[in-house]
Amino acid sequence: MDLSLSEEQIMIQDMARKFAREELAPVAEQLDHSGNEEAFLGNLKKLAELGCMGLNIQSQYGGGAAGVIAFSLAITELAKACASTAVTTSVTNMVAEVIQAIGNEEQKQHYLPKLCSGEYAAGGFGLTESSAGSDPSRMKTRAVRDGDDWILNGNKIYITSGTYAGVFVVWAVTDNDAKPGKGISCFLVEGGTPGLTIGKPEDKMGQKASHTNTLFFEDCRIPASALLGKENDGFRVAVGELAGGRIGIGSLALGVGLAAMDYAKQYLTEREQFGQKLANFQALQFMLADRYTELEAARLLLMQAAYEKEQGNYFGTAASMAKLFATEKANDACYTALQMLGGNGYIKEYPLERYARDVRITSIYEGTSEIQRVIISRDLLRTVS
Amino acid sequence: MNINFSKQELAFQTEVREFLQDYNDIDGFLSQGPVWPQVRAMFSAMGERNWLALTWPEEYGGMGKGHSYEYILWNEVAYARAARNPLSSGVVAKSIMRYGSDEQKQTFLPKIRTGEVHFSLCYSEPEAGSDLAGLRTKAQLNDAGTHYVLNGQKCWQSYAQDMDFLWILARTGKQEDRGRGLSLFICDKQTAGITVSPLPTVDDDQLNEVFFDNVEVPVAQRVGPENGAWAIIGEALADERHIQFPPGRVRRDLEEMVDWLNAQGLGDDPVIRERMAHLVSKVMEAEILGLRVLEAMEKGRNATVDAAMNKIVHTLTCQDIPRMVLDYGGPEALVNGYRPEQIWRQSIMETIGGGTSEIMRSVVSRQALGLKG
Ligand SMILES: Cc1cc2nc3c(=O)[nH]c(=O)nc-3n(C[C@H](O)[C@H](O)[C@H](O)COP(=O)(O)OP(=O)(O)OC[C@H]3O[C@@H](n4cnc5c(N)ncnc54)[C@H](O)[C@@H]3O)c2cc1C
Ligand SMILES: Cc1cc2nc3c(=O)[nH]c(=O)nc-3n(C[C@H](O)[C@H](O)[C@H](O)COP(=O)(O)OP(=O)(O)OC[C@H]3O[C@@H](n4cnc5c(N)ncnc54)[C@H](O)[C@@H]3O)c2cc1C
Repeated sequence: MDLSLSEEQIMIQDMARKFAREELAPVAEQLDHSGNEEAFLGNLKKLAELGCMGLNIQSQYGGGAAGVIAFSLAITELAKACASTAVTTSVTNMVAEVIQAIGNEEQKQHYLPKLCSGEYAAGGFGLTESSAGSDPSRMKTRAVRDGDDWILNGNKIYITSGTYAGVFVVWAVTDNDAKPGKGISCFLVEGGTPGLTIGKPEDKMGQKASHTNTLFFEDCRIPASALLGKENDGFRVAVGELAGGRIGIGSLALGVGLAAMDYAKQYLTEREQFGQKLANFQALQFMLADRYTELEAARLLLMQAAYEKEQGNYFGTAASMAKLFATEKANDACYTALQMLGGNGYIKEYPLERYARDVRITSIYEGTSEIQRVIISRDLLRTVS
Repeated sequence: MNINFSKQELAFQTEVREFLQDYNDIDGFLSQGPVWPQVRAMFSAMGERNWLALTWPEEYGGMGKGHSYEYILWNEVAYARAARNPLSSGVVAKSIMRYGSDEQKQTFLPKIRTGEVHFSLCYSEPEAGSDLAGLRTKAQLNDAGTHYVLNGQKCWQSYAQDMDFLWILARTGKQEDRGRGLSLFICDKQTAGITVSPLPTVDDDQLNEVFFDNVEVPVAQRVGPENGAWAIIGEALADERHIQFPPGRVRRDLEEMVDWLNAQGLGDDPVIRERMAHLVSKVMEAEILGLRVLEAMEKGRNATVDAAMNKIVHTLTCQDIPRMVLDYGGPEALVNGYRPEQIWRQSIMETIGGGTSEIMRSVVSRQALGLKG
C-alpha cells in the first residue's frame, strides 16, 4: 500500500497552491463583497490556461489527463483561497467529464477544447428544478422532437455559472409515459441560444462571487445533434456524474476547512490572554487536534474515492462517504476556527466569517448530506443477502 | 416544587404582551443597528410605564418589584424580537445606585428611567477580551486633580454608533495590579478626543472600535472609588444574570424555523421531524436553565454557575436551530436575507460575546465542580 502522491500530482498541487496564493487570495475578500466579475472571470481564464478546467480530460481534447486525484488536490488548494473560484472550476470539470463520458466524437471535439482552454468561461450543469432537487427524477422540463430539432420547455434553478457558462448540460424528460428517471435525456445547450433566458444571480449567503441562476427555457430550439448520449438514458448519466462531482465538492470543503483552521492555528500562537499564548490552553489545543484529525480523515476518504474512480472501479459509495464526511467536518472546522478568534471571528476584517459562510453550502449542493446517507445506506443494505 | 409564576406576575406578562403588539415588527433583537430609532422609541414608551425601573428601589423612582418582573419583561421582548435589554437601566443604573455620587444619581437615574439616555459598554480591548483584567486604556489624573485623561482603544462595542454615553473601564493603577487597578467612568460620547469607528460584522450589522485620544473626563464622572471597578462590574453583571439570555429568543427561533419548514412542505420529512424533536428539547433545557438562574437570584443565591451553564446551552441552541434549517430547509434557506441564514449569521456571536463558551466552561468546572486550575 502506497499513500504517497506521484510527481505529477505533486506538481499540480503545487501549481494550484501557488496560483491560489498569488492570484486568488489577494482578491477573494473583494470578490465576496463586490462580486468583481471581471477579476473573477480573469482568474477562470488563467486557470484554464494552467490546465485546471479539464484535469481529467484526455489530452487530445485539450485536457490535462492528470486524473481524479490531481483534480481533487487542485480543487482543495483553490478553495483554500477562494471557494467561489473553486466551485466554478469543479463544476466546469464535471461538465467536461459528462461530455467526455457520453458525447460522440463530434461533440467532444467541438466542446471539450472550448471548456478546457477557457474559450468558454465555464460549463453549466442543469439538473435541479424547483420541484426536483434531491429527487431529480421528478423533473418537469420537457424536450419534444420537432423534425430535425428538439424543443425545450421548463426551468432549471440554482445553476452554477448560469450567467457566463458557454455551454450547459441540460436534462429533460423525453418520454412522458416512462417511470420517473427512465424517460430523461441529456442535451448540450449553448449559452445565448434563442429561447434560453438566464435569470439574475441569486443573492446568496456564501460563495457570492460564483453566480447561481435560474435557466428559463421557452420553446428553446436545439438541433438533433445536441442530444448527449442515448435518448432516455440521461438520468443514469446524471447520477453517475454527480458521484464524480461529489469528489470535487468534498475537496472544496476540505480546502475551506483547512484554510480556516490554518488561520486559527496561527492566531492561537500569536494572541495572548491571561499572560500567555492562547495556544497554551489545552481546551484550545484539543479543539485543534480534533478538527485537524477530522480533516485529515476527510482527505483520506477523498483520496480513496478519487483513486477508485481513477482505476475505473465503482466509486459511488466511496464518493458519497467522502462528501458527507468532508463537508460536515469542514463546517465544524470553520465554526471552531471562528470561535477561536473570539470577537475577531465575527467581524468582516478577518476571513473567518467568509469561510463559515462559504463552507455552508457544501453539505447541500451536489446532493445533501441526507442524500449521501441515503446512497450509502442503500448500497450497504443491497449487499445483505 | 412550583415553577409557575404568580397571578400578579402573569397579569404583568399579559400587560407586556399587549404592549408589545405595537412593536412586533421592529426586529431589533437580532440586529439593533438598523432599527435603533424604533427601539429607542419603544424604550421611551416603556419608560412611560416605568418598566425600565421595575426592580429599582422606590427612592429612585423605581417600582421595587422582584427579579421575576424583569425576567418576564425581557423574555417577552426577546420573544417578540423587539430588542435586547438596554445597558442603561441595568448595568449602568444599578451600579450608580450602589456606588454613584448623589450628583450622578440625580443627573442620570431620572433620564435612564424614562429611556432618554443610552450607554455603550466599553470594556473589551483588542488585547483584552476574555482576559479583561489585562486591559490597557489609561486614565491618568491631571496635575490639578480635576480631570482624568483617557488614552487607548476599545474594541467590539455593540451599538456604540447610536448611544449617547460611554460606560468605560480604564486603568488608573498599575498594569500588574490587573483587576485591582481599574476604574469606571461615564463619558458623553461627544467629548473631544473620542472616535467611534465601525467594524462591519458577519450579520451585516456592526460592532465598533472606540478610540480615546487625550479625552478629558471630570473626576466627578468616575463611578465608585479609584481602582475599585472590578467589584462594581462583577456585581453589575450579577444583577443582570436573569435577563442576559432570555429563553424567549430560542423559543421564537424554533417557532420561526418550524414555520419555515412547513412553508417549504418539509414538515412531514422524518429526518427533519427527528431533528426538530431534539431541538425542542434543547429549547426546553434553555427555558429551565433560564428559570433556574431566576430562582437563584430570587433566593439570593450566587447565580454565577447557573448563568454560565445557561449561557452555554442557550447559545449553542441559538446556533443549532438555524444550522439545522440550513441543512434541511432547501437552498432558499441560504438566500441572503432570508430568515434561516440571517438568524444563523447572527447566532455565531452568541458563543463569543459576553464571555465565550470556553470561558463559561472553565467557570463551571472551577466553581461548580471545584476542579482546580
Ligand atoms: C457581537 C459581539 C458584541 C460584543 N459587544 C461588546 C460590548 O458591547 N462591549 C465590550 O466591551 N465588548 C463586547 N464584545 C467583546 C466580547 O466581550 C469579547 O469578544 C469576548 O470577551 C472574547 O474576547 P476576545 O474576542 O478577545 O477573544 P479571546 O479572548 O482572544 O479568545 C479567543 C479564543 O480563545 C479562547 N480562550 C480565551 N481564553 C481561554 C482560556 N483561558 N481557556 C480556554 N480558551 C480560552 C476563547 O474562548 C476564544 O475561543 C462583543 C463581542 C461580540 C462578538
Ligand atoms: C449555490 C448553489 C449552487 C448550485 N448549483 C447547481 C448546479 O450547478 N446544477 C444543479 O443542477 N443544481 C445546483 N444546485 C442545486 C442543488 O444541487 C440542490 O439544491 C440540492 O440537490 C438539494 O435539492 P433541493 O434544494 O430541492 O432540496 P430538497 O430536495 O427539497 O431537500 C430539502 C431537504 O430534505 C432532505 N431530503 C430530501 N429527500 C430526502 C430523503 N429521501 N431522505 C431524507 N432526507 C431527504 C434533503 O436532504 C434536504 O435537507 C445548486 C444549489 C445551490 C444552493
